[in-house]
Amino acid sequence: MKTYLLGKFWHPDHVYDALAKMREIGVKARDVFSPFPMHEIEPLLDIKRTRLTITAFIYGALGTLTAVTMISVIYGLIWPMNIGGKPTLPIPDYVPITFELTVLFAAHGTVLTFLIVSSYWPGKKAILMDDRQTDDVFVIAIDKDAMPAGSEADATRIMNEAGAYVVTEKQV
Amino acid sequence: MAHGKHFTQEELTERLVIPQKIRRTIYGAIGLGLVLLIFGLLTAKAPSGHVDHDTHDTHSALVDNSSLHKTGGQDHDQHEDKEHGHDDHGEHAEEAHGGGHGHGPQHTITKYTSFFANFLLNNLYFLTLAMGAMFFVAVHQIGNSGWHTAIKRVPEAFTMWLPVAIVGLAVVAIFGNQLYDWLAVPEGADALIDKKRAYLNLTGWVIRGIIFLGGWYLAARVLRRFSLREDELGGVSFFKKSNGVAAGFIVFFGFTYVLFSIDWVKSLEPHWFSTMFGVYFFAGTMATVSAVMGLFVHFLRRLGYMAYVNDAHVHDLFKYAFGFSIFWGYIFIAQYLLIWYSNLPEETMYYDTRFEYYHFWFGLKITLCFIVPFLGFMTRNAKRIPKMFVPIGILMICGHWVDLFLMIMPGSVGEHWHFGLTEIGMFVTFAGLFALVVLTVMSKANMVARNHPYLEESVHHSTGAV
Repeated sequence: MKTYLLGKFWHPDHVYDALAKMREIGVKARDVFSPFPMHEIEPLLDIKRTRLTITAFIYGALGTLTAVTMISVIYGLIWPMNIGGKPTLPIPDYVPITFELTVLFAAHGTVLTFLIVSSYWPGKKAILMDDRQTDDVFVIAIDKDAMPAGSEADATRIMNEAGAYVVTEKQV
Repeated sequence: MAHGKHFTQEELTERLVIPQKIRRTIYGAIGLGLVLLIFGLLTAKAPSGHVDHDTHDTHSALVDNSSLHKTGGQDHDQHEDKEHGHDDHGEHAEEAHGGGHGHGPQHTITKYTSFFANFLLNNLYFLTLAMGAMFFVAVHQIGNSGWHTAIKRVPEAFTMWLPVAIVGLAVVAIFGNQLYDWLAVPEGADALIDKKRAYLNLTGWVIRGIIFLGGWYLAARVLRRFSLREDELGGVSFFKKSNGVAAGFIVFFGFTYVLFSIDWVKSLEPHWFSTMFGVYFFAGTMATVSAVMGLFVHFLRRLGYMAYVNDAHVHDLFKYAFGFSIFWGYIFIAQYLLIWYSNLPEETMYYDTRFEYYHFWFGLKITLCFIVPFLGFMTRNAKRIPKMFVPIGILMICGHWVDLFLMIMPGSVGEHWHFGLTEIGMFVTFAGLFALVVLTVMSKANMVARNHPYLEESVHHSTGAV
């Protein structure tokens, strides 16, 4: 259980202002919940670059390898077939299958990795800072344990000044 | 928006002054190119001898000739009744290559043919840049795109190359019978070309050329004028009017660009059919123009202009280059597989010529147009760090040249292709002229569309930290 200081906003720009000002006094938000992606706040949250893209590449390469191996072994060695008099191991034939398997492996592998890393499994209960965070409310969540000592009052004031309609706490 | 730097009207008002150093470099490039070109022309030799087409099976080729022969043989029986009537029915494997005229052009090849083919190539190269930029402007206009506004003047300036391209293509048209089989071969000599003369005839070709190029230039001119008037008067009325023009242009462009590529490029090999040629031409166009625009914006920022353009804009341009080069690869293999899978031996001659006489170029084309941008632009940083995107972008520019080289040369000069001072010199001359025209056009107007309704959104454009 952690206690979060929550600032709730109606407008994305106010979120940006509040985050920028809080950074000056050393308060960093744990996360921001927004109904739509706000790329411009990512530098303010110190979000590290995702490594998911690297896994996507690895899965894709794995798919390519699988396709090439399967075609070569099955189509080339185990069960060669004469289709329209074409060579049994033609390079153009490789391309669509290799492409499909690359996409299949990369897409499914990436999505599954994302779900596992984020610990989303079937039946998992959603953690909502505010019930309306998926509708029209922007929520800044600050981990109270990670705040510099005595900065809570300042953070509350900054969020209120920036335009928060309410600043509360919630245990999650 | 609250975040990011705010730009005042003064900061958004800037004129390009071409630095003397750049101007001298461009003039130097044009001069050097012309010298190379003339030297290359003086030392050019007429192509030697006629290559016996029946002996070519010894060449290494990606397609296994012997198995192709089998396919060709089987299919030949089925196709015989509707074959083109000019088949060489000898015992040799000629039918495997799709009809007796599979190899090389039928017109006389002199030492100037290669020059005209090269001239056509360079005209088309820079025309594709202009038209790709025009499509870019139009599609972002009707897509209500916000991010591109800050760099909008760059593609707009590219489109103003069109008049030069029109003059160049007019010159090509005058000497058309040096290049195009269907212009050079007299009626009755080739049954298949005769069947296509309803479409491929000089009058129709010229009229279509005038309509296509004229229509494109008109649209480019109108969009440019609206954009410049908007700078002076402001408001959203010009934006709304541009929407209509851009939408009309896209419909017109969709049909005419395909027909244009058939008229000027595909008809170099009038025996060959491909339903994918237009989109293949378009894919190459868009990949290259995105890379060129990215490099151009980077170049202008290096000169100290466009402070309001950030890395995200460059990132997005190279994203386009990345995406469209994958699209190019997709279309390339699709065009190939349509012929490969559906057993159309009479169409294989298009690739057979390329495998035999151009195998080095063929591999180079796939490497530069697909493999290099695909692997090179895959990571985020490659699209943002000049040390990465400048070399990859330049390789893509070379790749498009090779792509056009492979589209044009086999049909116009056959196996007598030539790569040397003439080719390099002509490209350098054209590139210098293109840079000069684009920079001059850019210096005639404000560097950014300063009253564009989406400008504010554009200067705060961000692709995020990840």
